[in-house]
Amino acid sequence: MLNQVFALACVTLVLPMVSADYTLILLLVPMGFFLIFLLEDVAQGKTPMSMVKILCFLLPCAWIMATEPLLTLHAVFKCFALLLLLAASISIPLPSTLFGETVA
Amino acid sequence: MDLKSDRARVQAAILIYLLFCVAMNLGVWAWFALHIHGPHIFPLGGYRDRFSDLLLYSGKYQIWKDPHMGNYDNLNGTLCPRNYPPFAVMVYRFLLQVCAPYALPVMLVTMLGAMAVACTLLWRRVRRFESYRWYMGAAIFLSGFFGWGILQVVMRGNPEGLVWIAVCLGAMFFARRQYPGAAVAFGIASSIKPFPVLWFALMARHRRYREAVLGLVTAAGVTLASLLIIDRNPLRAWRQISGKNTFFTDYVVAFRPMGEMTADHSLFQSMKPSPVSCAIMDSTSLTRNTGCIPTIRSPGSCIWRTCRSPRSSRWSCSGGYGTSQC
Repeated sequence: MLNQVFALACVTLVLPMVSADYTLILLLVPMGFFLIFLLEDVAQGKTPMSMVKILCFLLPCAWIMATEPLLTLHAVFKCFALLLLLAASISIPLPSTLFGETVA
Repeated sequence: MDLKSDRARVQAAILIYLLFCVAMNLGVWAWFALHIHGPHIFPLGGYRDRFSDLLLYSGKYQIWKDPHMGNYDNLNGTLCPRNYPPFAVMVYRFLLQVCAPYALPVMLVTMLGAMAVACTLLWRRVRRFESYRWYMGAAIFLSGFFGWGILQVVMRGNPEGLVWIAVCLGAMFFARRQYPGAAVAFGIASSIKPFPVLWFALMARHRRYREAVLGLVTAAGVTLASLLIIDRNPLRAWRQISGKNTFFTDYVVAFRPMGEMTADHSLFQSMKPSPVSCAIMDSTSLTRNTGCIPTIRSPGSCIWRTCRSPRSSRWSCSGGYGTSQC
């Protein structure tokens, strides 16, 4: 379910013909769910997850949320980060207690 | 830090996220502060166009409106934002007419207040876990108030923050399995801007067909009510709004870049034509709204041009707030 929420947010952000950067605010919703998932499931050993897999989500999120200089390819890099996040959300399962997929 | 335990890995990953965000934000703002008298662009975009997504359409005096703001396509004072659905027009009219001259403060207080509530609720939820550390709270509030999305919402004065409130409420109801409430919230969100309608696909995926229909009916009802408020004849009201809608001609047929779209992270952004090709098209009497055929440019060619000529590709790949002449 968390995978689907992440993927939905990424698709909503990269697929419109025009998607200005203020729409990135919508990514805060799956990021909030992901933080709960990390602390409730991963940190307590309910869902095993390697550091690399965690960073596959957090590093693109960090790039998207950080302020970068408004220079060349600024928006293209944000787009790449969103596509990476989309790929991670498709390929790395995130079964969470929040959505009733693991035992509380 | 020993990364062998699950808890340590989570803490280290969140710390990396926080440090990256803090370093980038501090670096960009420090660089700008040190070169403030140079020709450097304001880190959030063209300073003169600040709050223009809301205040451009106001005919009344509004505080914090730059008197030198451009009157793009004679939209100044029309009260009718381009390319937005009827309920968004109603929101604009409420803010710009009823709340004048405090349209912008009202919208910002609403959005930032909602952000504060959401961050506080999330922080209270996560601090109960044993693996919680203080920097996780800092990451929550930093992302909430200094994330690129919210900074752009504030800079542009865009109603996306209001859409976010509805989506956030809907997601909260969805996580609590209160599906009718979620459907209504997503319905309201998608009547301000259309893309939250994809959440109904997620509902349908989980066999929540009735709630998905409820959400769609909510969106349709809110849209119809907005049309009826604008004009007693909803068809006339629709024509009045859609007359200013240039989305199809500007972005689908003409496929052109907009000057303010430095920060357009759409997958199609890098395929849009360069200012040079637009200038050529203008010189051949093809106006921007006639569906002229642009040069399609791939992300790869964008990068290649960047390596060859950083100055020319700056505007071709990422536009430039109010500076691209296309």
